[in-house]
Amino acid sequence: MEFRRVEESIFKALMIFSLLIVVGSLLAVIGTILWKGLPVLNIDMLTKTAQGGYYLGKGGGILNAIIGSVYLALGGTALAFLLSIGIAFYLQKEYSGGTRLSNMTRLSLDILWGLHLLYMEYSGSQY
Amino acid sequence: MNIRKLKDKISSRLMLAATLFACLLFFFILISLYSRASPILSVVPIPDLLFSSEWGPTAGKFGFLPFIMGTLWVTGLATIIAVPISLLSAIYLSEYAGNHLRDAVKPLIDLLAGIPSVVYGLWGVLAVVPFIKNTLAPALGAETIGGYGILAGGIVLSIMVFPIIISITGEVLRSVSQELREVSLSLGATKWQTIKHVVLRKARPGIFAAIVLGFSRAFGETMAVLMVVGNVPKIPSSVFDPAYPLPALIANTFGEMMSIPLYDSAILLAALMLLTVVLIFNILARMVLIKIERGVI
Repeated sequence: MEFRRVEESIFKALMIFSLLIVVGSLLAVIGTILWKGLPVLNIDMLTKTAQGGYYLGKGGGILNAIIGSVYLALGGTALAFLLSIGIAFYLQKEYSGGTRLSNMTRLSLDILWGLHLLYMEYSGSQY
Repeated sequence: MNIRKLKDKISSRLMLAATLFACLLFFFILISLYSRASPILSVVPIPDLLFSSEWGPTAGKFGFLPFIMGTLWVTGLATIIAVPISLLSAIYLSEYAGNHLRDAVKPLIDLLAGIPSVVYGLWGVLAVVPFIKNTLAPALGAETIGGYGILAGGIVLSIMVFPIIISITGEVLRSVSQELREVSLSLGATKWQTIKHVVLRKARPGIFAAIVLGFSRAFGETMAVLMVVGNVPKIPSSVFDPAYPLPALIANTFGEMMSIPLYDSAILLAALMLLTVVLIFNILARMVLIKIERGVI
């Protein structure tokens, strides 16, 4: 068998192995959380707020935490929506026209956001 | 002036204001961090801060070296684990896998990206840490502190980085034109030779961007790492040692023990360091990408 065929099959096996690791780890994460979490989940947990002695295993649930998360997410999204729509339009060519301000803003947002814009710009230029 | 023009003017000014705000936000954060961190910078010389490994805030000793090394070890390990696995998976998905498999795996990877980091941390504590403690460390004859350490942090982080690198690399590989592949195959190259010499060469800048993106996610990740990494302020010497990365230091100690002089300032200095590294990294990555786009590399 030719060397290049051997090489191909080795790499193919490695690829399948990697894919199995990725999918397997996802299933492991979800599986572990469900396995440990489902037995203690009940209606009271979701519909009652924490009561005295909650952390000692007495009554109550996590409704307060759930509502808190929802409020935070709604408020944050609403605020971000208002601001970012404006910014997104302004960064278009019609307004800022690729000026220094728009470059600075992109860099600043990149840093705040951990490079996501960098990728989006790159993929934009690719297609 | 007619009302249409007025509307146009007002809306463009509003958008300008929002843009300026976003632009200044970063500088505002940088300046406020610097001003809060400056007390310690004026008392302790910078080389001492960066290269001393003595951490004793009560004794006025602020050496960040253990934390910096902890960050580097965890991030480095996560990158080493994640890059080959996710690149190979991405290549398989885009080049070899049939449509069925691709359609089945893609939502799973998106799901992986959407899981909050605390959940990853919990999973690390429930699954990875006991595995290292009971199976891996005894098999390799290594000492661990109950399984908590860099290895656990690196494994959890690398799983968090998988979806980023896989999905970006997948997009980039798909953008390589089909004709290039056909030309190479028609010359008698095998599929793997085509991938190695044609597809990957064309996709290199995009893959670079994918790795940078994954690395920067790993670098600043706090919660999941904090839960499994052991949090011992000592310079690690192997992957089984516990570490104490900078984000974990900030999350664990901010707001506590602020009566100790300079403590608050030291923590904000740690935040400033993280921000500076991300800044430098961004600028470097951007420069490389600009060069690639111009065709220099």
